[in-house]
Amino acid sequence: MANFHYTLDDNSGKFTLCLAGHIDEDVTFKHIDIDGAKELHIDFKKVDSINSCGIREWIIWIRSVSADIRIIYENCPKAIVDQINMVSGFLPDTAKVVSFYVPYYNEDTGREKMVLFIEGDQYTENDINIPFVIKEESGDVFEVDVIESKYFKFLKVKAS
Amino acid sequence: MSAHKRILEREPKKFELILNEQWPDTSVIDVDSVEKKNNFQLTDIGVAKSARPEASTRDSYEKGLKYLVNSSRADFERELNVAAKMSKEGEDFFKYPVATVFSPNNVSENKESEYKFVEYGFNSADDKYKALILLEVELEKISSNEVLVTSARTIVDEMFTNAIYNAPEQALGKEQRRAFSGSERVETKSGRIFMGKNDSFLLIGCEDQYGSLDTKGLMERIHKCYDSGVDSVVNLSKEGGVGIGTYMLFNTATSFYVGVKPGESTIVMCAIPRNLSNRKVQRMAKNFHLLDLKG
Repeated sequence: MANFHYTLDDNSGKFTLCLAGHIDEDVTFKHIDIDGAKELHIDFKKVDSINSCGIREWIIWIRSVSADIRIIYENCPKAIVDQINMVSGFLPDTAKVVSFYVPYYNEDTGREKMVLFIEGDQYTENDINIPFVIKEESGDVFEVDVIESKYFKFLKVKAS
Repeated sequence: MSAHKRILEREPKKFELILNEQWPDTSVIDVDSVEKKNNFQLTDIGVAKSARPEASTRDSYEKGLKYLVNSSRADFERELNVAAKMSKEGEDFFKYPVATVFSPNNVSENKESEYKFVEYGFNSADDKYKALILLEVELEKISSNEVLVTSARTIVDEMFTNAIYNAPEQALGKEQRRAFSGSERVETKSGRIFMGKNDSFLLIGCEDQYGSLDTKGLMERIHKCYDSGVDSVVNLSKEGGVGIGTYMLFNTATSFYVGVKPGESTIVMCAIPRNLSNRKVQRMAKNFHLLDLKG
């Protein structure tokens, strides 16, 4: 039995699909009814993980979504960003990512924090402005904890 | 002259001094200097400074390299001993896999219990979520690092999928895969997922009782993902595996351990650092240890 669920809201043709849990071989997306959608916002914030079978299920489904529907990915956790960068088709060519999480790390304490990058703030379609260091009120300093050329690759691809 | 070359040229017997007492006549080869045409013997241990995975995985399936240990890593000496232990006394790996990795010079049931902190037996796809929940609960006791927990979850999930779906298919044919992945849940031979830890590493392992893994094919698939990209390997049809699960394991881990006893057991283990930034983990050169024990 799948440890996965979703909610789907229709706001006059703007559909918001919120995914939650583990996306794996037991998940099927074909029952998600997006008839009438002009825009499809997919919120990944509550996705805990995705395995190789889940990647396949996702690509098969997202490819079946009509090209007339504008697809937008939101709140992508690192697990989803990693798949976007790893497998073409995970993010359709016509889709865009408007927000995603970036891990930051404090070497002294071993603490990490996830920072939400939002289109228009840290990046645009043609430019990325990565804050390499973030300082908390406590004085703790966190450094960006990804290899930038790999993690932000999907943005450069989109820009080109 | 680099520190690595100094080790090999000025101190040619350094590796033998590390290993010789317990494992005499261990063959250690500088992989960086081996000519392309050479093939490796089953018990050769390759040492590189910081091998790129696309090169080392090719050396494995094309030239038979079974053990690769990188000297740039802080755990080099322990990993060198793990390779020697597996190549010389492979049976112990199947009895005490966790101890083999964390205490290669002193493998015992006591050491296995000392380092292993959780184990979960399974024989059905329905056991997966219980396994994931149990392992997550145990992981959260030792780390709140989201990147580490996510990496561990990925590893457990892929290992479980391999053991439940791929192992029976490789052993018994495609009909077994269709049976297990359909709505009717068929029981498989029992397997287990386990985790161990020391101060620096988390070790995640899975054992099935089919012993059907082809290590050469495994490394070839992983190599292709690095060399030609995941897109060249991924199977988007509904039949069979996706083809990228073991690459995801290898790419997430910093050390990769596989033991196959044909018809009896396959053990796959991945080690990930516990207290390093994600950047440092991603930059760490990967070791691998492949043991094919004759049945």
